[in-house]
Amino acid sequence: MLEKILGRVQKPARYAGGEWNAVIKDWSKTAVKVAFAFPDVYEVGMSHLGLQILYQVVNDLDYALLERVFAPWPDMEEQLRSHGFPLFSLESRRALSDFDIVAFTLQYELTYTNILNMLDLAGIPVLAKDRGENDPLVIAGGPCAYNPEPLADFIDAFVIGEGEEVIVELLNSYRANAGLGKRELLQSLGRLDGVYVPSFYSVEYHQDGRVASIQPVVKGMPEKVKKRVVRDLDAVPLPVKPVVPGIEAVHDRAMVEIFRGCTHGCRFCQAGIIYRPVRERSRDTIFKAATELLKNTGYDELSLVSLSTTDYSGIGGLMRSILDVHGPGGVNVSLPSLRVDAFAVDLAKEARRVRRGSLTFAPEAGTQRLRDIINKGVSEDDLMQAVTSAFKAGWQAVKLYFMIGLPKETREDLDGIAQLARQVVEAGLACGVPPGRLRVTVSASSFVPKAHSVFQWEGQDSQALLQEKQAYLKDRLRLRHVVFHWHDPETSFLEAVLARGDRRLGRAVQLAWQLGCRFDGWTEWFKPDLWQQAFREAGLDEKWYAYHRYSFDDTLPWEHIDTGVEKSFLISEYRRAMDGEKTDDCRSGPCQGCGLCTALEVERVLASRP
Amino acid sequence: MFRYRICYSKTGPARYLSHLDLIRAFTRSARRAGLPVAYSHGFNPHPRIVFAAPLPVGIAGESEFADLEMEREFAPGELRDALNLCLPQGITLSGVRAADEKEKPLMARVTGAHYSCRGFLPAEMNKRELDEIIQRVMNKDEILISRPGKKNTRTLDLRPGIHGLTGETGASGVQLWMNLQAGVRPQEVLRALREAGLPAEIEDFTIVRHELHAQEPLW
Repeated sequence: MLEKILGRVQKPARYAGGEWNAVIKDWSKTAVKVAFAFPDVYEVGMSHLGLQILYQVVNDLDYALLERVFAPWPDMEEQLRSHGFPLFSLESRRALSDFDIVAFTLQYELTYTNILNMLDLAGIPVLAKDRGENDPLVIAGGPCAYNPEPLADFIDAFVIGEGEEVIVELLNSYRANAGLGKRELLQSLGRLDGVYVPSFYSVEYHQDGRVASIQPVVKGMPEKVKKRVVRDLDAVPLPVKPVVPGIEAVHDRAMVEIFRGCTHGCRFCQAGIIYRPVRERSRDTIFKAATELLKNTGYDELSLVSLSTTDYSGIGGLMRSILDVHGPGGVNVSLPSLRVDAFAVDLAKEARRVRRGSLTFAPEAGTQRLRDIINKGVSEDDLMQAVTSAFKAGWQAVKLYFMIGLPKETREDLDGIAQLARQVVEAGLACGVPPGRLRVTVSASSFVPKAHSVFQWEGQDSQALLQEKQAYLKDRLRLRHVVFHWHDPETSFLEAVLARGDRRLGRAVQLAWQLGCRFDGWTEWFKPDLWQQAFREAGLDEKWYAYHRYSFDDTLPWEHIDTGVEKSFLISEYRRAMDGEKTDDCRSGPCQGCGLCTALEVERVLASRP
Repeated sequence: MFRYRICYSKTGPARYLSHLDLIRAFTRSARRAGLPVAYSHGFNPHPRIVFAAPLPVGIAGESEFADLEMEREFAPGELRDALNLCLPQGITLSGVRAADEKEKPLMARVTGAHYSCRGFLPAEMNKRELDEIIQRVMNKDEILISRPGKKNTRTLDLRPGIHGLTGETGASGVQLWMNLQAGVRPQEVLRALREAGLPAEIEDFTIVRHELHAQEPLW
């Protein structure tokens, strides 16, 4: 039957399994069965490092197993539904409903309809309240769990923060309490640090729609759920035997996470707040892991992963030691996210003998004024030195990432983007890049205010305004050697609604899915009309969610999720932003008083002295 | 450079890997095994592996051939065993031998192949009916098909390329064997059978290539 179905779909290898390092344990001898459900297609999910981390952590336990399931592409969904074939895992090809726990990762708000779809395809009721004792427990974690409310109707328990340690506690608790029934089980899970059970909380609203309060209604549940943070990354295992995808994944290379956290303090950035503090792995750990990883996978490219790789203490020495040993065998080292300066380019030069493709830099804003407001510590000089260094080293193409719709943005800032692009082109020509080859790509995404970031109180620019700004930029960027990419404002709008919303949005998410929404993050499948219809039928004003500004006194829909960073710090940072005042990085400078290290009893870990 | 002829099977979940996926599977497996595959020089180095006849996605192969160039010399058995330990599920080397640089290129030597196609039928069919359908196809003077190309659509006559076509029926469906000239695709023959009355969708068939034919044996 499965073969019959696979004969009828695109890229059947997405569903076939059998990959190198896939782990198939003895079902009958393993107590707890977990399915890692990535709510996007195989090629995207297999690039996700979190999956590989948890795959190793759970499968290393003798009493648990973890198998993978990805969102079936619409052609596969059609086959599954028409044949009455339930959604199945890749390893043992068992129906998802046979698992004890289905664990979703929340990487991007526009995957929410896929979550509901996967539950439905598995024959699992999408609403948590409709699930019975025989249905799997449905949990979710990842960055979007920091505002979990839009999914409160569907998820039994959210995991806030880093998963390596809490997942083991959760599985142990499951083993001890599953027999006592779902309510008892959820109570025991809710008592674990970092686990949020939405059904145990009640939300009250003001007349005007703002949240008035979020309170636990079950004894023993905390007012605020504190995120989990791993104190010593050298003490938790690095995935050194990741499953190697059979078909090409979006990011298809060996990945070593060299540190977690980033304290540059860019004010639009949620990741900078939720992954604090900076904790570097030791050079020794990284080098050993890289060697094992290459041996276990056969990849010829190694990526040193983090939020800002060139900041790693002693990055040059680390790279050189890896290249000295593995370079002769043909291994390339890639550095995602280059800091905007010449030093980073020097590193990139060492990593890549052949300078093909483009180097990417993220100035984010077009003028120094706005860059200071968002605390992106990049000067025009930094950028020009970086691109000049890149062109001189042999790169012929450069990508520049910007954001439009930032707070306090004016027309001058958009002009600034065009001006920078022009200057970069001039630098390229001056460095002798053949005019036929020189390419400067300007990519402008739309600002989405994110929970727990300094700008969390801001509203998003209206779609009409964003479209106007994009048209303006497009006009200003009609230059030779320049290519302009922009993001569809309707997609960014929906992202903002779901990122800023409360649990009333659950009704709209369910309706949108019922109306046929899937793969909302994919241009070819995104159906804004159906989403509009869903909001209408749910009686919700989606524009209010995306556009309205919160005040400092408001109870935010994510008030009960605690990142460890004090709200007073965020407010102070916001005020400094409005004054255009910069804040230093506590990695290399003095503590800025965000409160996190005290609140979570954790501290910054550096591999070597700065 | 040292050249080796490998004979391998591509079945199970590996049947769904594309040709490029297969190349990647071989190069990664070689790295895992610590075996230095030779790479071409120049701007865009690629591994020195050539295949006798690439398999389309979905069709399994039991006896496929490729030439692999290594940077140093190996005992063929050593190469086979080392690679087999590191190949993903569904790909297995059945044999490795040293190959002569002077041999004619693999791809140019393949003249045809033997396939089996197992398919579901909505209702049981008796052998006589099946034989009649097969006969209808074999009796044709020509079977014209169109193949869309990059610039234009080509029209081809399949019939001369169908050297042999037999079948068996059973409770669950039908089993067909085809002896086809190089360039004739088993799905195209299935389509011709469908047009001649076979009540099955092409997608309902599981296709396996059992053997490649060549003027001088590939092994």
